[in-house]
Amino acid sequence: MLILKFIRLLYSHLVQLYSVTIMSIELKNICKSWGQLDVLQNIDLKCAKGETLVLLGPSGAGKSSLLRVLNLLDTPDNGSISIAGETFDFSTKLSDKKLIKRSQMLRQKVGMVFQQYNLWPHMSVMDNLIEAPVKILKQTKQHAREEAMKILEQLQLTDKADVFPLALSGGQQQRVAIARALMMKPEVLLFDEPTAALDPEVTNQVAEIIKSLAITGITQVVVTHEVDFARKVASQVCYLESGEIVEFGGAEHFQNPQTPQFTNYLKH
Amino acid sequence: MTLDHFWLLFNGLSTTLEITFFSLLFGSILAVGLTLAMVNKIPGLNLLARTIILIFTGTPLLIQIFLVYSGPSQFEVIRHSFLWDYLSQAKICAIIALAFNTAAYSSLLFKGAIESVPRGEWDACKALGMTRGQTLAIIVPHALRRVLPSYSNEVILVLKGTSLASSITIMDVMGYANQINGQTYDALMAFSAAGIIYLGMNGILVLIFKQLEKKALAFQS
Repeated sequence: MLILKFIRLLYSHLVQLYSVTIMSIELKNICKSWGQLDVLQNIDLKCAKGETLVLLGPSGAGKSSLLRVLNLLDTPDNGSISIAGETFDFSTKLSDKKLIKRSQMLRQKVGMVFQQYNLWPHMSVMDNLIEAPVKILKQTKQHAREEAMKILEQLQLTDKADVFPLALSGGQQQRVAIARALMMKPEVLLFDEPTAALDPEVTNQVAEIIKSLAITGITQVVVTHEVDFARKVASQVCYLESGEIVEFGGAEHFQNPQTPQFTNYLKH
Repeated sequence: MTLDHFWLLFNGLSTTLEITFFSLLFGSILAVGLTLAMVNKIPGLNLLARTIILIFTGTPLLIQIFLVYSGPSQFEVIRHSFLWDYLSQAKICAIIALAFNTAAYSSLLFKGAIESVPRGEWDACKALGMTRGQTLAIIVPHALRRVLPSYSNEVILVLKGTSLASSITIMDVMGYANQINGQTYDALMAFSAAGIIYLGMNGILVLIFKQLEKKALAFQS
């Protein structure tokens, strides 16, 4: 145990030392607009492996847009993305077919947990979990079921395996959604407002889950507008306003915000 | 009209059910094809699907039955091909017309159902790295469950629609009702009895579909 702890510590030091090379996410000059509206303007961002990056900002700041760009649910108009070892350059026009193929590859490594959970309501919890690994990773149903039970156990949902999602509470559905994303063993996990529809107690549970996932070395990006929740989980923070990064840095920025906008935001 | 006449109507029932069953079978398969062509916007096929739908929803079923029955015989080529073995049979013509008719309406239902599956469920598929086909393999079953209540309506319309097949010499329930009316001039009894048979069949269909819906939509409760 002690050895493991030591190795982990050593690893995290190495990661910090060589953070330039072990970048999990690197965005350069990402721009995105819907018609006249610029939702993302020249976003530059770096996030090392194993970090928990929180995207904070008022509504309409572009947090969710940025998150959707990270697994290419929306395609940026310009810039380049490097995430989980896959690099996309949008300054040159990619052919649609190639882009679709490659973004499918990317999404297998970059999981996403949605604000509304987006579980498939007509399938049991178990079927929700094993669908992707069986269809995409070609796992046997037997194997996928075993994996699913392990993850459900971690998230304290073992007794819910055969239930339909709509019979679950919001917090439980959220955990199923997390479990479904984890089934693909993603290198990066994206959370879109994971606590928006949950009561405070359940919010703490989600925070605990995110923190325990951080220990496993998975890189997480969390969109939220709840400052308390952000403080609990963040190792890095990125504050956005009207599609631009206003402040970016380590979790210490919560104590020492560098810009008046972020200072102001933390006050409410 | 005597009781014997009433039993005579039941002779037509098997024909009515046969035409209903095969029209629905071929119609639903065709409808899935038309739906996929439209939902996936397959070039060419999409246009073809929309044209078929426009024609079969925009014209009366009776005209469609007449055209399928009488139209092909005008062409020498068709009369001398293997197709003629089938197209010369009234029952097959009725099935073809009804199948296309119900396929046109059903595909609109299916398309609506697929599009009404919440955007988030599509996003969830996409976000896991699924292909278009893998995504549809999840979305379509959900849509089919949602469409069941309105599809049961379509099934009833087809059963009732088969009565028009009697106009091309087919002896279904309606065909026999016409015959009895011709022999006895007791229109009120002949057509009331036929109506009751259709009503009974539809009642049974409604009950079956209620049970199916209970099963298929169990996830909503």
